[in-house]
Amino acid sequence: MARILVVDDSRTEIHVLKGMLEKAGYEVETASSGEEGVETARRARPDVILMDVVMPGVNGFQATRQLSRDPQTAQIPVIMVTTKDQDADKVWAQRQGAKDYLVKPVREKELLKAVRAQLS
Amino acid sequence: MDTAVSANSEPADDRLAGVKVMVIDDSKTIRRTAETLLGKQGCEVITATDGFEALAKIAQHQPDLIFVDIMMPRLDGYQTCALIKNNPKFRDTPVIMLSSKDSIFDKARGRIVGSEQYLTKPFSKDELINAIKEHVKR
Repeated sequence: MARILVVDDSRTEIHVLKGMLEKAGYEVETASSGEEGVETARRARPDVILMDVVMPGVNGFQATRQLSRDPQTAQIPVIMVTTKDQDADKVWAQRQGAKDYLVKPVREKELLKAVRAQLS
Repeated sequence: MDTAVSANSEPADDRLAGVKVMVIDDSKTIRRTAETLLGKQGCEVITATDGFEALAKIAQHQPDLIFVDIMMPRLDGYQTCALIKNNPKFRDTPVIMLSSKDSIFDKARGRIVGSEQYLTKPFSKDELINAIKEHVKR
């Protein structure tokens, strides 16, 4: 089964996303900061990464940029999952290498559809 | 309501009669389809194969509404839309982006460059017509 890495500094958010993904049968890894997210991605090689944006330290845009510029992790699709809903944020995320963008609060159906799209 | 109109011959909507519509797309199929569909509704349809060609034609014909494809050679749909919206003379002309991708990023970029709406291909006849009715106020 596909493995998903969830990067978010909110434990509640991780709990919710992890619950939805595990219920759908995915294996879930978590990281609570941008730095940890990049590190875990390199080590665990997930199939998809769900990335929050607003986090202390390395934020989700920066972490996504690091991952997409690193040949080791560049092929792992990153989906931004964030409360930031401005068009400029979406375009910026794409420039950092994100493959999709979900605005919180994320509905289960929408999340699973986005994950499946990246896996296919 | 005019009950004399027969049910099997679809009447052209007179709200669309004479509306000047520009269709910018490098695909001949799309240009022909739009031309046929909108022509039947009484629209005057002007076509262009890319943004460069379109800019000259916009100045010449002053369309009431513009449909523009995103992926085109030379000048793409975003650049074309931005140029239209930066020109005080054409700023108020509604621009509708046409894209084959239903992508959140394309929609965001479309809004940033000032377009009024975003249609995903393949579009239906009704989508085209409704877009014109919504944005062309007469």
